[in-house]
Amino acid sequence: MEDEEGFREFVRARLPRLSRAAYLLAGGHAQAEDLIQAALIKTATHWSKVSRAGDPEAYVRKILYHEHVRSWRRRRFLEHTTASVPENAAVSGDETGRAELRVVLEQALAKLTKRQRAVVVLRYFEDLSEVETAQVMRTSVGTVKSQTSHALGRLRVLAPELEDVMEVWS
Amino acid sequence: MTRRLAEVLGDVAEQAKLYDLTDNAIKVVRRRRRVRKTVVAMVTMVAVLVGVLAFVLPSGGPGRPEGGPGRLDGEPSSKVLPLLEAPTRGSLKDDAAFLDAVLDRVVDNPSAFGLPSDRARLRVLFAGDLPGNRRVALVAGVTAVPRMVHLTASGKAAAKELELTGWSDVEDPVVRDDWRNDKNQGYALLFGPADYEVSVSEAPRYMEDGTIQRTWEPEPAGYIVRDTSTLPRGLRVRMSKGDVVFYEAPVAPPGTVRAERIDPSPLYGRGKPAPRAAQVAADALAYSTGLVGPGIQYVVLWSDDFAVPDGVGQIATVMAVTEQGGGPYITIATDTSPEPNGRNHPTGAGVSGNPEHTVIAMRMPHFDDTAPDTLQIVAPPQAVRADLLKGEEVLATVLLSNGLGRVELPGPLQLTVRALDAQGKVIAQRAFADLTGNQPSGGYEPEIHGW
Repeated sequence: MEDEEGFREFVRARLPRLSRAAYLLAGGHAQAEDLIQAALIKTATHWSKVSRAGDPEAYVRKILYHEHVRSWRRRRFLEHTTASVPENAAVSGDETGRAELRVVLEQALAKLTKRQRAVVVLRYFEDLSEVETAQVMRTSVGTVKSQTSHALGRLRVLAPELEDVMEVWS
Repeated sequence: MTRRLAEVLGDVAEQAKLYDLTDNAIKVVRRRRRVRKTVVAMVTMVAVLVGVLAFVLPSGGPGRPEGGPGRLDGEPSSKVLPLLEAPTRGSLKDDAAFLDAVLDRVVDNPSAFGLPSDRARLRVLFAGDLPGNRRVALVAGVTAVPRMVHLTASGKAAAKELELTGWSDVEDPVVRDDWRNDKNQGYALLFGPADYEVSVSEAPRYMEDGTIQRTWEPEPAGYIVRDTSTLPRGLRVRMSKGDVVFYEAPVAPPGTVRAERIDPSPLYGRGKPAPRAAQVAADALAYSTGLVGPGIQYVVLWSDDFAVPDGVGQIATVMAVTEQGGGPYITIATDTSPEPNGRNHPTGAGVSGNPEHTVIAMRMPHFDDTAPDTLQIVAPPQAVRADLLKGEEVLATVLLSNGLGRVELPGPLQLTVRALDAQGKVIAQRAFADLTGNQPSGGYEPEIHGW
């Protein structure tokens, strides 16, 4: 493999962020690991071209999201394991409240479609603009807008406990 | 403004581990470059059948399983634990020397199998001789993310001669494995936790009203082994306790080849002929259902042009109409390649009654990564509109032309599709539901997962 050390250096620097994005998309360690593996193999395969293009992270991110959306073809269904959702999650600034919010959101994310989940992660975790999100998902800005709207609407229904967070989405 | 959501997403993401698979990726790339010249692209039928035929292959590739988070430690989820605690199945289950020798191999070199070195955390889930002259041992680790390795050989091989041919995550409490050569000789293997009544049903009757009649017979062994060359059509397995069904699913496709060409003209003139898509769909339907011969008529329920990235492909829904008047159907889209690549969508397959009185709804297959929001309606030819209802609320009305119509409606949806004639009389009705993250894709008849 050409410039193997360059590839390793890139992965070392970016892997924590990519691992977190993969976990958010997949909702489980084994599935996240599968996503990262597929993305790294494709990146390594085309590394010389990808590194020359100057933005390898963007390339890996695209692969990650496309593998996530395509994975229904490979997997019979997704597994998602979380603790049970607290009936009334306290939306406060303390650590308990944050932990409860996390569980509620995690549970709700698991019930979105793959594209809805992807658009939430891209827009609000990766902090990409609508245009950048559209480029990653290879779709139109209009579709990103409608997917975002559908995703947030669904989260409102699925996780009313997150009302404080909901307000800032609208 | 979006900071709060980003923060909570960040909290969720903090649970991630560092999935460092750099070495693995580099090894795979090196290996692929070595073998690239020998690789032959075989895309068409594989792409068509994935997701439809439940053709479960080991997910591991060449090489050895890599370690990773949860692979070697922790406790399994309660979902898969009953499977891991079940006794060994297979014709060699009582051959203690063989089972010990299999485990010895793992314990002596656990990294070669990606399994724990602690013998107490290893289980031989299956060991036996199977049709197709295969000897198979399936060994799993009792860990937080259990992995199962497939050790295989031809003939009556000793444990040390079994080769590591693949591996997979144990994600369900049921193991499905099948293997066959290009002459359709091989095995289908299926087993689950102990203490369930296992029964099988074959040769279902597809009735004119769209219902399916099946007769269930006990499977005394408590697990399924079949020769793929003699698989009966429509073979399904059920695991249950009393009236509570834990698992129900097709066992494996019979692999039937349909000799005749299909008449590509769509029934009642619904759409335009799409001969390539119709033929691929008919072949896939025969392969997966085994429905061929006298009394079985293949018809195109609808077909049309289909936009694909490099031009105009085709799409067709083909049904095998049985003597009882109903039958299974499948929808396939094909691209413009000389040997067409095919795509299906899980909602594009099912069982229909008499096509003259049946409405079906489906999402469209797609060749890129963006699933369209289109919902396609195929209704009786005299239907002029379809109402899409959530409860009794009409979400959308679709005007139909010759029984066909479509609407852009983002999912996930769960609704009733009601077809009406020019007088406003309901002439057909059917439920439609998008598949969401944790639902099995099913195939023609719904799968039941009681976990």
